[in-house]
Amino acid sequence: MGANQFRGGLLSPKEHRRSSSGSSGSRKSSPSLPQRKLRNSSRASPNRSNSFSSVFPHEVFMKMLSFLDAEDLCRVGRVSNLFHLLSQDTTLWYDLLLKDYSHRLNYVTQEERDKRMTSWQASPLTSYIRERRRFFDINLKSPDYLAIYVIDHPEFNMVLTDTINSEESGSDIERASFRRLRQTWSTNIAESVKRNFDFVREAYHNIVLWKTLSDKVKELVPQQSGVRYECVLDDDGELILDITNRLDEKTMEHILNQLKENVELLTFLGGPKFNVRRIQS
Amino acid sequence: MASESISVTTSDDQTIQLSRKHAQMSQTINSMLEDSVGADQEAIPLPNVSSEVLKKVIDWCTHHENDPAPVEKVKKLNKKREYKAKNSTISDEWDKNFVNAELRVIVDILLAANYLDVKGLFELMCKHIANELKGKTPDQIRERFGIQDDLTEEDKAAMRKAWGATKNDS
Repeated sequence: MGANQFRGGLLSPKEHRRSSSGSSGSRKSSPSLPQRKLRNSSRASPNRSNSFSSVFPHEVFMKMLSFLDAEDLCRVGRVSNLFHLLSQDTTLWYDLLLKDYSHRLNYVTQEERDKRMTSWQASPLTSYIRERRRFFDINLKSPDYLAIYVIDHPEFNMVLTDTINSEESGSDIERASFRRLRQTWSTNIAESVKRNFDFVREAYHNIVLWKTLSDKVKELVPQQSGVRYECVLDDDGELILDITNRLDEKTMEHILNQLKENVELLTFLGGPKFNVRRIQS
Repeated sequence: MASESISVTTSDDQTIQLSRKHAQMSQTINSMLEDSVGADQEAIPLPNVSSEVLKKVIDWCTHHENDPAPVEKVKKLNKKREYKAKNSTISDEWDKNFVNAELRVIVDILLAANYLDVKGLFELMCKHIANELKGKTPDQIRERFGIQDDLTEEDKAAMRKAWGATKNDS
């Protein structure tokens, strides 16, 4: 996990943020989906093959789904009518937003929360995306919010600190600015973020991406296979997955497809845009 | 003084003894006990729980009997922490082993935990199922849980379009 896993994108001024596919958030809940299954009550011995989808009370499903993230919730919504309805729940999406942006929404009062929730009911997913995009933008525009974000997210802070401490390449000017940053970073993060806003913004953009995807890769690569891999974001905002041991073709395809889907969902859900591509070695 | 063990009758008409401590981990039984102070000689009927499943629940309670009680009502001040803590990782090794069971058993335990209102166990089972749902395509989820695909092609097309999914996972 060296410094250059996202270095290219970090130092290039490129604007590879989301494309202008403005229509993507226009999902309406389909009126044709029947409501009938939503309120099944529990029974004692569910052992028919199709039991799973009808056996749980509503609140049990909600508890289960509350552990999923946005990407998974989208996928689950495509399983069946019942799951589609369940995945449209306002509270689920609102809580997801709170989880992602707790550093900002924390200060929202209960009344405000209820009021906003009501306005969310028509289309929770769309509302979620709208808000998430808004926060993503705010973080990228406001030094204050970005500083709060860095302080609130120890993992992000750690990766950033590692980068700052290990950065040796680049021009003299770059090296000098890194040296200055190193000195202030450990003592006053908020101040450092504000002073080096452009740098941290790029890093935020790239690390959030990189982290999300490399977590995904970690999940996907078979654990006992002794496979070593590295995720790198290159200059063009492409994620390169470097796998040292050979995996069989099927597994590779599976990983690649999953990553692609994840990337598409991530972009759709208000994240930045980037590509996953396989390089033949 | 109430006796140290409680007897309950399960759905398959078995009478099972459990210690007061374990019984009180179930909010449902606990409130029944409170309602009938002094008259607790009779077995408590649990028409929704089979003896097989109840034994599993007792196993779990035995392992977790000394856990600190869950902190109730985290108020606004702690909200942030609360949201952050909501991830589905199962950290306890014993628990990991416990959920390593057939789907039918998992479902039964989850329903029993819900009915008996055993918070920790309920949480654990929900986490487990959430983990099973994670990172799977809709097809894989259907296969894993034996769910019938009752979405029309139209529904699917609309969802695909809206959620930007790849073509090959229906």
